[in-house]
Amino acid sequence: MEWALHTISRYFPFVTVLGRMAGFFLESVAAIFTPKFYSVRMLEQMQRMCVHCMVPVLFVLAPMGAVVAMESLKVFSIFGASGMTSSLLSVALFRELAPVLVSVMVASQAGAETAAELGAMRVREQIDAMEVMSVDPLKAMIVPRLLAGFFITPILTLVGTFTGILGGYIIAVMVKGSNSGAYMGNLFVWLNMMDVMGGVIKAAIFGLLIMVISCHQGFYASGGAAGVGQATNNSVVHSVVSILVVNYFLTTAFFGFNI
Amino acid sequence: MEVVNVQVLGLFGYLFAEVGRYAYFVAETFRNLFYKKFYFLNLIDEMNTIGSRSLLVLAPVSVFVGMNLCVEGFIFFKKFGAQNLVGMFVAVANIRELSPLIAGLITGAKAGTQMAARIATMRITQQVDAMEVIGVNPYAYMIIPRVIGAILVMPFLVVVAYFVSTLSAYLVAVYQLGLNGDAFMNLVFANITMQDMYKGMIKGAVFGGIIATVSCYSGYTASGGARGVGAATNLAVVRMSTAVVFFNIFLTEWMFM
Repeated sequence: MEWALHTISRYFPFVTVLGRMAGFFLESVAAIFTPKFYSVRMLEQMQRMCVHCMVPVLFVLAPMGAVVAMESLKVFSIFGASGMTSSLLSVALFRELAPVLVSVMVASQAGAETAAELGAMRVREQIDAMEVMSVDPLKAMIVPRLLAGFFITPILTLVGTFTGILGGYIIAVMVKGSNSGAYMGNLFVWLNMMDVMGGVIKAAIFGLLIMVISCHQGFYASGGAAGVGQATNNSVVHSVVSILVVNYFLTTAFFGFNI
Repeated sequence: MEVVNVQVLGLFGYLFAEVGRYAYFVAETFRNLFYKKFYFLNLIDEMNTIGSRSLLVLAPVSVFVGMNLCVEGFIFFKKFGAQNLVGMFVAVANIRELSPLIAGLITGAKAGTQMAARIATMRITQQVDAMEVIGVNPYAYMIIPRVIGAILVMPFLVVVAYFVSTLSAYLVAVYQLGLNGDAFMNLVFANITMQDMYKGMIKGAVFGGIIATVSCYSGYTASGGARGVGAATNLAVVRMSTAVVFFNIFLTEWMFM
Protein backbone atom coordinates (compact mmCIF):
# COMPACT_ATOMS: atom_id res chain seq x y z
CA MET A 1 0.00 0.00 0.00
CA GLU A 2 2.86 2.27 0.89
CA TRP A 3 4.53 1.87 -2.48
CA ALA A 4 1.26 2.40 -4.37
CA LEU A 5 0.67 5.70 -2.62
CA HIS A 6 4.29 6.64 -3.22
CA THR A 7 3.98 5.90 -6.95
CA ILE A 8 0.72 7.78 -7.30
CA SER A 9 2.06 10.77 -5.44
CA ARG A 10 5.05 10.83 -7.77
CA TYR A 11 2.79 11.21 -10.77
CA PHE A 12 0.39 13.63 -9.11
CA PRO A 13 2.44 16.74 -9.98
CA PHE A 14 2.46 15.65 -13.61
CA VAL A 15 -1.34 15.64 -13.78
CA THR A 16 -1.47 18.98 -11.98
CA VAL A 17 0.93 20.52 -14.48
CA LEU A 18 -1.11 19.15 -17.39
CA GLY A 19 -4.27 20.70 -15.98
CA ARG A 20 -2.59 24.04 -15.38
CA MET A 21 -1.17 24.00 -18.90
CA ALA A 22 -4.60 23.31 -20.37
CA GLY A 23 -6.03 26.20 -18.38
CA PHE A 24 -3.20 28.44 -19.54
CA PHE A 25 -3.80 27.44 -23.16
CA LEU A 26 -7.55 28.10 -22.95
CA GLU A 27 -6.94 31.48 -21.34
CA SER A 28 -4.55 32.50 -24.09
CA VAL A 29 -6.95 31.29 -26.81
CA ALA A 30 -9.62 33.44 -25.18
CA ALA A 31 -7.14 36.33 -25.17
CA ILE A 32 -6.69 35.99 -28.95
CA PHE A 33 -10.34 36.73 -29.60
CA THR A 34 -10.85 39.59 -27.14
CA PRO A 35 -9.90 43.12 -28.13
CA LYS A 36 -6.46 44.72 -28.00
CA PHE A 37 -4.46 42.51 -30.31
CA TYR A 38 -0.74 43.34 -30.46
CA SER A 39 -0.18 42.67 -34.16
CA VAL A 40 3.19 44.44 -34.41
CA ARG A 41 4.54 42.29 -31.61
CA MET A 42 3.28 39.21 -33.39
CA LEU A 43 5.13 40.18 -36.56
CA GLU A 44 8.23 40.88 -34.49
CA GLN A 45 8.07 37.47 -32.90
CA MET A 46 7.53 35.80 -36.27
CA GLN A 47 10.55 37.55 -37.73
CA ARG A 48 12.73 36.69 -34.75
CA MET A 49 11.65 33.08 -34.80
CA CYS A 50 12.35 32.73 -38.52
CA VAL A 51 15.77 34.34 -38.28
CA HIS A 52 16.90 32.52 -35.16
CA CYS A 53 15.67 29.07 -36.16
CA MET A 54 16.75 29.13 -39.78
CA VAL A 55 20.43 28.32 -39.28
CA PRO A 56 19.88 25.36 -36.90
CA VAL A 57 17.18 24.00 -39.19
CA LEU A 58 19.45 24.14 -42.24
CA PHE A 59 22.37 22.63 -40.33
CA VAL A 60 20.29 19.74 -39.02
CA LEU A 61 18.15 18.83 -42.00
CA ALA A 62 20.92 18.76 -44.61
CA PRO A 63 23.02 16.10 -42.78
CA MET A 64 19.85 14.16 -41.97
CA GLY A 65 18.84 13.99 -45.63
CA ALA A 66 22.40 13.00 -46.49
CA VAL A 67 22.38 10.14 -43.97
CA VAL A 68 19.00 8.82 -45.15
CA ALA A 69 20.22 8.94 -48.76
CA MET A 70 23.41 7.12 -47.81
CA GLU A 71 21.67 4.30 -45.95
CA SER A 72 18.85 3.83 -48.43
CA LEU A 73 21.26 3.88 -51.38
CA LYS A 74 23.11 1.00 -49.77
CA VAL A 75 19.98 -1.00 -48.95
CA PHE A 76 18.22 -0.38 -52.27
CA SER A 77 21.27 -1.23 -54.36
CA ILE A 78 21.03 -4.76 -52.89
CA PHE A 79 17.77 -5.10 -54.84
CA GLY A 80 19.17 -3.20 -57.82
CA ALA A 81 16.69 -0.39 -57.20
CA SER A 82 19.05 2.44 -56.36
CA GLY A 83 16.86 4.86 -58.30
CA MET A 84 14.31 4.62 -55.50
CA THR A 85 16.62 6.39 -53.08
CA SER A 86 15.18 9.80 -53.79
CA SER A 87 11.57 8.61 -53.67
CA LEU A 88 12.08 7.17 -50.19
CA LEU A 89 13.99 10.28 -49.15
CA SER A 90 11.31 12.73 -50.23
CA VAL A 91 8.47 10.71 -48.67
CA ALA A 92 10.41 10.29 -45.42
CA LEU A 93 11.34 13.97 -45.31
CA PHE A 94 7.91 15.36 -46.10
CA ARG A 95 6.07 13.07 -43.74
CA GLU A 96 8.33 12.41 -40.80
CA LEU A 97 11.83 13.77 -40.66
CA ALA A 98 11.24 17.40 -41.55
CA PRO A 99 8.27 18.03 -39.22
CA VAL A 100 9.86 16.19 -36.30
CA LEU A 101 13.43 17.46 -36.62
CA VAL A 102 12.41 21.02 -37.44
CA SER A 103 10.10 21.00 -34.44
CA VAL A 104 12.88 19.64 -32.25
CA MET A 105 15.15 22.44 -33.44
CA VAL A 106 12.41 25.04 -32.95
CA ALA A 107 11.90 23.65 -29.45
CA SER A 108 15.58 23.89 -28.65
CA GLN A 109 16.08 27.33 -30.19
CA ALA A 110 12.86 29.33 -30.03
CA GLY A 111 11.20 27.38 -27.22
CA ALA A 112 14.21 27.53 -24.94
CA GLU A 113 14.69 31.19 -25.81
CA THR A 114 11.06 31.92 -24.94
CA ALA A 115 11.30 30.09 -21.64
CA ALA A 116 14.54 31.85 -20.75
CA GLU A 117 13.17 35.28 -21.66
CA LEU A 118 9.84 34.93 -19.90
CA GLY A 119 11.50 33.24 -16.93
CA ALA A 120 13.97 36.10 -16.58
CA MET A 121 11.12 38.61 -16.81
CA ARG A 122 9.13 36.72 -14.18
CA VAL A 123 12.10 36.39 -11.84
CA ARG A 124 12.92 40.11 -12.11
CA GLU A 125 9.22 40.90 -11.53
CA GLN A 126 8.77 42.62 -14.86
CA ILE A 127 5.61 40.65 -15.50
CA ASP A 128 4.13 41.85 -12.22
CA ALA A 129 5.09 45.38 -13.23
CA MET A 130 3.23 44.94 -16.51
CA GLU A 131 0.14 43.79 -14.67
CA VAL A 132 0.37 46.81 -12.38
CA MET A 133 0.47 49.06 -15.45
CA SER A 134 -2.67 47.23 -16.63
CA VAL A 135 -1.01 45.67 -19.66
CA ASP A 136 -2.30 42.12 -19.93
CA PRO A 137 0.84 39.93 -20.16
CA LEU A 138 -1.12 37.16 -21.83
CA LYS A 139 -2.07 39.46 -24.71
CA ALA A 140 1.22 41.30 -24.93
CA MET A 141 3.62 38.38 -24.65
CA ILE A 142 1.99 34.97 -24.84
CA VAL A 143 -0.45 35.36 -27.74
CA PRO A 144 2.14 36.70 -30.23
CA ARG A 145 4.46 33.79 -29.45
CA LEU A 146 1.75 31.16 -29.74
CA LEU A 147 0.64 32.49 -33.11
CA ALA A 148 4.24 32.80 -34.30
CA GLY A 149 4.88 29.17 -33.40
CA PHE A 150 1.71 28.08 -35.12
CA PHE A 151 2.45 29.90 -38.38
CA ILE A 152 6.24 29.81 -38.66
CA THR A 153 6.99 26.14 -37.91
CA PRO A 154 5.24 24.90 -41.11
CA ILE A 155 7.22 27.38 -43.20
CA LEU A 156 10.47 26.28 -41.59
CA THR A 157 9.41 22.70 -42.23
CA LEU A 158 9.08 23.29 -45.95
CA VAL A 159 12.46 25.03 -46.04
CA GLY A 160 13.96 22.13 -44.11
CA THR A 161 12.47 19.59 -46.49
CA PHE A 162 14.12 21.17 -49.48
CA THR A 163 17.39 21.42 -47.59
CA GLY A 164 17.18 17.71 -46.85
CA ILE A 165 16.54 16.88 -50.49
CA LEU A 166 19.55 19.02 -51.40
CA GLY A 167 21.70 17.22 -48.82
CA GLY A 168 20.59 13.89 -50.22
CA TYR A 169 21.44 15.10 -53.73
CA ILE A 170 24.93 16.10 -52.66
CA ILE A 171 25.61 12.67 -51.17
CA ALA A 172 23.83 10.47 -53.71
CA VAL A 173 24.88 12.23 -56.90
CA MET A 174 28.07 14.11 -56.15
CA VAL A 175 29.72 11.77 -53.64
CA LYS A 176 28.33 8.32 -54.40
CA GLY A 177 27.96 8.99 -58.13
CA SER A 178 24.42 7.82 -58.85
CA ASN A 179 22.60 9.32 -61.81
CA SER A 180 21.44 12.91 -61.43
CA GLY A 181 18.48 12.54 -63.80
CA ALA A 182 17.27 9.42 -62.05
CA TYR A 183 17.50 11.21 -58.70
CA MET A 184 15.47 14.20 -59.85
CA GLY A 185 13.03 12.10 -61.87
CA ASN A 186 12.17 9.73 -59.05
CA LEU A 187 11.91 12.45 -56.46
CA PHE A 188 8.13 12.83 -56.42
CA VAL A 189 7.06 9.42 -57.70
CA TRP A 190 5.62 8.10 -54.45
CA LEU A 191 4.64 11.48 -53.06
CA ASN A 192 1.09 12.79 -53.08
CA MET A 193 -0.45 15.98 -51.82
CA MET A 194 -1.72 14.32 -48.64
CA ASP A 195 1.86 13.65 -47.54
CA VAL A 196 2.82 17.30 -47.93
CA MET A 197 -0.31 18.60 -46.23
CA GLY A 198 -0.01 16.04 -43.45
CA GLY A 199 3.55 17.12 -42.75
CA VAL A 200 2.61 20.80 -42.72
CA ILE A 201 -0.36 20.27 -40.39
CA LYS A 202 1.82 18.15 -38.11
CA ALA A 203 4.38 20.94 -37.99
CA ALA A 204 1.71 23.53 -37.12
CA ILE A 205 0.44 21.36 -34.25
CA PHE A 206 3.98 20.78 -32.99
CA GLY A 207 4.72 24.51 -33.15
CA LEU A 208 1.67 25.32 -31.06
CA LEU A 209 2.57 22.56 -28.59
CA ILE A 210 6.15 23.81 -28.21
CA MET A 211 5.08 27.37 -27.62
CA VAL A 212 2.37 26.45 -25.10
CA ILE A 213 4.82 24.34 -23.11
CA SER A 214 7.68 26.81 -23.14
CA CYS A 215 5.49 29.87 -22.46
CA HIS A 216 3.93 28.02 -19.53
CA GLN A 217 7.32 27.01 -18.16
CA GLY A 218 8.75 30.50 -18.50
CA PHE A 219 5.65 32.34 -17.31
CA TYR A 220 5.49 30.43 -14.03
CA ALA A 221 9.24 30.19 -13.38
CA SER A 222 10.46 30.92 -9.86
CA GLY A 223 13.65 30.91 -7.85
CA GLY A 224 16.28 33.24 -9.30
CA ALA A 225 18.90 32.35 -11.89
CA ALA A 226 18.72 28.62 -11.08
CA GLY A 227 14.95 28.73 -11.61
CA VAL A 228 15.38 30.24 -15.07
CA GLY A 229 17.82 27.49 -16.01
CA GLN A 230 15.43 24.88 -14.65
CA ALA A 231 12.53 26.36 -16.65
CA THR A 232 14.58 26.33 -19.86
CA ASN A 233 15.67 22.76 -19.27
CA ASN A 234 12.11 21.62 -18.52
CA SER A 235 10.70 23.39 -21.56
CA VAL A 236 13.15 21.66 -23.92
CA VAL A 237 12.63 18.22 -22.40
CA HIS A 238 8.85 18.42 -22.25
CA SER A 239 8.59 19.80 -25.79
CA VAL A 240 10.84 17.15 -27.33
CA VAL A 241 9.06 14.32 -25.51
CA SER A 242 5.60 15.55 -26.40
CA ILE A 243 6.60 16.08 -30.05
CA LEU A 244 7.83 12.51 -30.39
CA VAL A 245 4.83 11.06 -28.55
CA VAL A 246 2.18 13.08 -30.39
CA ASN A 247 3.91 12.30 -33.69
CA TYR A 248 2.87 8.64 -33.55
CA PHE A 249 -0.80 9.49 -33.11
CA LEU A 250 -0.70 12.13 -35.84
CA THR A 251 1.00 9.71 -38.24
CA THR A 252 -1.68 7.10 -37.61
CA ALA A 253 -4.41 9.73 -37.96
CA PHE A 254 -3.15 11.32 -41.18
CA PHE A 255 -1.53 8.49 -43.12
CA GLY A 256 -2.83 5.32 -41.53
CA PHE A 257 -6.48 5.52 -42.57
CA ASN A 258 -6.21 3.08 -45.46
CA ILE A 259 -4.11 0.32 -43.88
CA MET B 1 27.69 46.11 -49.75
CA GLU B 2 29.86 47.38 -46.95
CA VAL B 3 27.21 46.49 -44.39
CA VAL B 4 26.79 43.01 -45.84
CA ASN B 5 30.53 42.46 -45.74
CA VAL B 6 30.73 43.60 -42.16
CA GLN B 7 27.86 41.34 -41.17
CA VAL B 8 29.23 38.31 -42.98
CA LEU B 9 32.69 38.90 -41.56
CA GLY B 10 31.19 39.34 -38.14
CA LEU B 11 29.26 36.09 -38.45
CA PHE B 12 32.25 34.11 -39.63
CA GLY B 13 34.51 35.77 -37.11
CA TYR B 14 32.09 34.82 -34.35
CA LEU B 15 31.83 31.28 -35.65
CA PHE B 16 35.57 30.75 -35.86
CA ALA B 17 36.17 32.41 -32.51
CA GLU B 18 33.61 30.14 -30.86
CA VAL B 19 35.04 27.01 -32.50
CA GLY B 20 38.52 28.04 -31.41
CA ARG B 21 37.43 28.66 -27.84
CA TYR B 22 35.62 25.34 -27.81
CA ALA B 23 38.75 23.57 -29.08
CA TYR B 24 40.78 25.27 -26.36
CA PHE B 25 38.22 24.15 -23.78
CA VAL B 26 38.39 20.54 -24.99
CA ALA B 27 42.19 20.63 -24.98
CA GLU B 28 42.17 22.00 -21.46
CA THR B 29 39.79 19.23 -20.41
CA PHE B 30 42.14 16.62 -21.85
CA ARG B 31 45.10 18.20 -20.11
CA ASN B 32 43.32 18.12 -16.79
CA LEU B 33 42.47 14.47 -17.28
CA PHE B 34 45.90 13.79 -15.83
CA TYR B 35 45.53 16.23 -12.96
CA LYS B 36 46.96 14.93 -9.70
CA LYS B 37 43.51 14.39 -8.22
CA PHE B 38 40.74 12.45 -9.91
CA TYR B 39 37.32 12.95 -8.36
CA PHE B 40 36.02 9.40 -8.61
CA LEU B 41 32.93 9.93 -6.45
CA ASN B 42 31.88 12.85 -8.64
CA LEU B 43 32.18 10.58 -11.66
CA ILE B 44 29.90 7.97 -10.08
CA ASP B 45 27.47 10.69 -9.05
CA GLU B 46 27.37 12.19 -12.55
CA MET B 47 26.93 8.77 -14.18
CA ASN B 48 24.00 8.13 -11.87
CA THR B 49 22.46 11.51 -12.66
CA ILE B 50 22.91 11.29 -16.43
CA GLY B 51 21.80 7.68 -16.69
CA SER B 52 18.82 7.61 -14.40
CA ARG B 53 17.39 10.99 -15.42
CA SER B 54 17.72 10.34 -19.15
CA LEU B 55 16.45 6.78 -18.90
CA LEU B 56 13.11 7.87 -17.50
CA VAL B 57 12.62 10.13 -20.52
CA LEU B 58 14.29 7.95 -23.13
CA ALA B 59 12.31 4.76 -22.51
CA PRO B 60 8.81 6.22 -23.08
CA VAL B 61 10.02 8.22 -26.08
CA SER B 62 11.64 5.14 -27.65
CA VAL B 63 8.32 3.33 -27.41
CA PHE B 64 6.64 5.92 -29.58
CA VAL B 65 9.59 6.23 -31.97
CA GLY B 66 9.52 2.50 -32.64
CA MET B 67 5.76 2.48 -33.09
CA ASN B 68 5.92 5.39 -35.50
CA LEU B 69 8.76 3.85 -37.48
CA CYS B 70 6.83 0.62 -37.93
CA VAL B 71 3.68 2.39 -39.12
CA GLU B 72 5.64 4.58 -41.56
CA GLY B 73 7.59 1.65 -42.97
CA PHE B 74 4.39 -0.33 -43.40
CA ILE B 75 2.68 2.50 -45.29
CA PHE B 76 5.67 3.00 -47.57
CA PHE B 77 6.28 -0.67 -48.33
CA LYS B 78 2.58 -1.31 -48.93
CA LYS B 79 2.81 0.84 -52.06
CA PHE B 80 4.64 -1.97 -53.82
CA GLY B 81 3.05 -4.84 -51.95
CA ALA B 82 6.09 -5.64 -49.84
CA GLN B 83 4.55 -4.92 -46.46
CA ASN B 84 5.95 -8.12 -44.99
CA LEU B 85 9.43 -6.65 -45.41
CA VAL B 86 8.75 -3.95 -42.82
CA GLY B 87 10.93 -5.85 -40.33
CA MET B 88 13.96 -5.17 -42.49
CA PHE B 89 13.20 -1.45 -42.62
CA VAL B 90 12.68 -1.30 -38.86
CA ALA B 91 15.90 -3.21 -38.17
CA VAL B 92 18.14 -1.13 -40.43
CA ALA B 93 16.67 2.27 -39.64
CA ASN B 94 16.31 1.63 -35.95
CA ILE B 95 19.56 -0.07 -35.03
CA ARG B 96 21.84 1.91 -37.27
CA GLU B 97 20.47 5.40 -37.23
CA LEU B 98 17.45 6.19 -35.17
CA SER B 99 18.21 4.70 -31.76
CA PRO B 100 21.64 6.33 -31.34
CA LEU B 101 20.28 9.61 -32.66
CA ILE B 102 17.21 9.63 -30.42
CA ALA B 103 19.30 8.60 -27.41
CA GLY B 104 21.69 11.44 -28.19
CA LEU B 105 18.97 14.04 -28.63
CA ILE B 106 17.08 13.00 -25.50
CA THR B 107 20.20 12.79 -23.35
CA GLY B 108 21.22 16.16 -24.73
CA ALA B 109 17.87 17.69 -23.99
CA LYS B 110 17.66 16.24 -20.50
CA ALA B 111 21.15 15.78 -19.07
CA GLY B 112 23.00 18.21 -21.33
CA THR B 113 20.78 21.19 -20.61
CA GLN B 114 20.92 20.34 -16.95
CA MET B 115 24.73 20.37 -17.03
CA ALA B 116 24.71 23.67 -18.87
CA ALA B 117 22.20 25.26 -16.50
CA ARG B 118 24.01 24.06 -13.39
CA ILE B 119 27.48 25.09 -14.52
CA ALA B 120 26.17 28.43 -15.77
CA THR B 121 24.49 29.05 -12.42
CA MET B 122 27.77 28.26 -10.67
CA ARG B 123 29.64 30.58 -13.02
CA ILE B 124 27.19 33.45 -12.57
CA THR B 125 27.00 33.19 -8.81
CA GLN B 126 30.83 33.13 -8.86
CA GLN B 127 31.10 29.68 -7.36
CA VAL B 128 33.61 28.71 -10.05
CA ASP B 129 35.84 31.62 -9.09
CA ALA B 130 35.48 30.66 -5.44
CA MET B 131 36.49 27.12 -6.34
CA GLU B 132 39.63 28.37 -8.05
CA VAL B 133 40.43 30.58 -5.07
CA ILE B 134 40.30 27.70 -2.61
CA GLY B 135 42.56 25.68 -4.88
CA VAL B 136 40.14 23.19 -6.42
CA ASN B 137 40.64 22.68 -10.13
CA PRO B 138 37.18 23.30 -11.68
CA TYR B 139 37.96 21.21 -14.75
CA ALA B 140 38.94 18.18 -12.70
CA TYR B 141 36.13 18.74 -10.21
CA MET B 142 33.12 19.27 -12.46
CA ILE B 143 33.93 19.06 -16.19
CA ILE B 144 35.85 15.79 -16.43
CA PRO B 145 33.39 13.72 -14.37
CA ARG B 146 30.56 14.93 -16.60
CA VAL B 147 32.39 14.24 -19.86
CA ILE B 148 33.62 10.78 -18.87
CA GLY B 149 30.28 9.95 -17.29
CA ALA B 150 28.40 10.82 -20.49
CA ILE B 151 30.85 8.79 -22.61
CA LEU B 152 30.49 5.76 -20.35
CA VAL B 153 26.72 5.90 -19.89
CA MET B 154 25.53 6.72 -23.41
CA PRO B 155 26.22 3.27 -24.99
CA PHE B 156 23.95 1.63 -22.43
CA LEU B 157 21.20 4.17 -23.05
CA VAL B 158 21.52 3.29 -26.74
CA VAL B 159 21.06 -0.39 -25.89
CA VAL B 160 17.92 0.43 -23.92
CA ALA B 161 16.64 2.41 -26.90
CA TYR B 162 17.31 -0.59 -29.19
CA PHE B 163 15.33 -3.00 -27.09
CA VAL B 164 12.43 -0.72 -26.23
CA SER B 165 11.89 0.56 -29.75
CA THR B 166 12.21 -2.85 -31.42
CA LEU B 167 9.78 -4.34 -28.92
CA SER B 168 7.25 -1.58 -29.49
CA ALA B 169 7.66 -1.93 -33.27
CA TYR B 170 6.92 -5.64 -32.84
CA LEU B 171 3.80 -4.90 -30.82
CA VAL B 172 2.54 -2.44 -33.44
CA ALA B 173 3.31 -4.86 -36.27
CA VAL B 174 1.36 -7.66 -34.61
CA TYR B 175 -1.54 -5.87 -32.94
CA GLN B 176 -2.10 -2.78 -35.08
CA LEU B 177 -0.99 -3.87 -38.53
CA GLY B 178 -1.79 -7.58 -38.25
CA LEU B 179 1.53 -8.94 -39.51
CA ASN B 180 2.97 -12.29 -38.50
CA GLY B 181 5.07 -11.78 -35.39
CA ASP B 182 7.56 -14.60 -35.95
CA ALA B 183 8.22 -13.54 -39.53
CA PHE B 184 8.73 -9.96 -38.35
CA MET B 185 11.28 -10.92 -35.71
CA ASN B 186 13.06 -13.26 -38.12
CA LEU B 187 13.46 -10.41 -40.59
CA VAL B 188 14.72 -8.12 -37.85
CA PHE B 189 17.35 -10.60 -36.73
CA ALA B 190 18.32 -11.49 -40.28
CA ASN B 191 19.14 -7.88 -41.10
CA ILE B 192 21.18 -6.83 -38.08
CA THR B 193 24.41 -8.24 -36.82
CA MET B 194 26.21 -7.91 -33.53
CA GLN B 195 28.62 -5.59 -35.36
CA ASP B 196 25.81 -3.16 -36.11
CA MET B 197 24.85 -3.01 -32.46
CA TYR B 198 28.44 -2.40 -31.33
CA LYS B 199 28.79 0.31 -33.94
CA GLY B 200 25.62 1.96 -32.72
CA MET B 201 27.00 1.88 -29.19
CA ILE B 202 30.22 3.51 -30.41
CA LYS B 203 28.10 6.20 -32.06
CA GLY B 204 26.37 6.69 -28.73
CA ALA B 205 29.69 7.11 -26.92
CA VAL B 206 30.84 9.73 -29.45
CA PHE B 207 27.54 11.57 -29.10
CA GLY B 208 27.92 11.48 -25.32
CA GLY B 209 31.35 13.11 -25.58
CA ILE B 210 30.02 15.81 -27.92
CA ILE B 211 27.01 16.52 -25.73
CA ALA B 212 28.97 16.76 -22.50
CA THR B 213 31.80 18.93 -23.85
CA VAL B 214 29.47 21.29 -25.74
CA SER B 215 27.08 21.81 -22.86
CA CYS B 216 29.87 22.19 -20.29
CA TYR B 217 31.54 24.73 -22.59
CA SER B 218 28.31 26.70 -22.99
CA GLY B 219 27.71 26.73 -19.26
CA TYR B 220 31.33 27.50 -18.39
CA THR B 221 31.47 30.60 -20.61
CA ALA B 222 28.09 31.99 -19.50
CA SER B 223 27.81 35.62 -18.47
CA GLY B 224 25.07 38.00 -17.37
CA GLY B 225 22.48 37.39 -14.71
CA ALA B 226 19.44 35.14 -14.78
CA ARG B 227 19.14 35.90 -18.48
CA GLY B 228 22.65 34.53 -19.03
CA VAL B 229 21.77 31.16 -17.53
CA GLY B 230 18.81 30.81 -19.86
CA ALA B 231 20.87 31.93 -22.84
CA ALA B 232 23.63 29.42 -22.02
CA THR B 233 21.13 26.58 -21.75
CA ASN B 234 19.54 27.59 -25.05
CA LEU B 235 22.90 27.81 -26.83
CA ALA B 236 23.97 24.47 -25.38
CA VAL B 237 20.97 22.57 -26.67
CA VAL B 238 21.07 24.13 -30.13
CA ARG B 239 24.82 23.62 -30.54
CA MET B 240 24.79 20.05 -29.37
CA SER B 241 21.84 18.85 -31.40
CA THR B 242 23.36 20.41 -34.50
CA ALA B 243 26.74 18.86 -33.74
CA VAL B 244 25.24 15.43 -33.04
CA VAL B 245 23.33 15.30 -36.32
CA PHE B 246 26.33 16.66 -38.21
CA PHE B 247 28.81 14.13 -36.84
CA ASN B 248 26.30 11.34 -37.38
CA ILE B 249 26.93 11.57 -41.13
CA PHE B 250 30.68 11.00 -40.72
CA LEU B 251 30.16 8.15 -38.28
CA THR B 252 27.70 6.48 -40.65
CA GLU B 253 30.05 6.89 -43.57
CA TRP B 254 32.95 5.49 -41.56
CA MET B 255 31.16 2.53 -40.00
CA PHE B 256 28.41 1.31 -42.28
CA MET B 257 29.50 2.11 -45.83
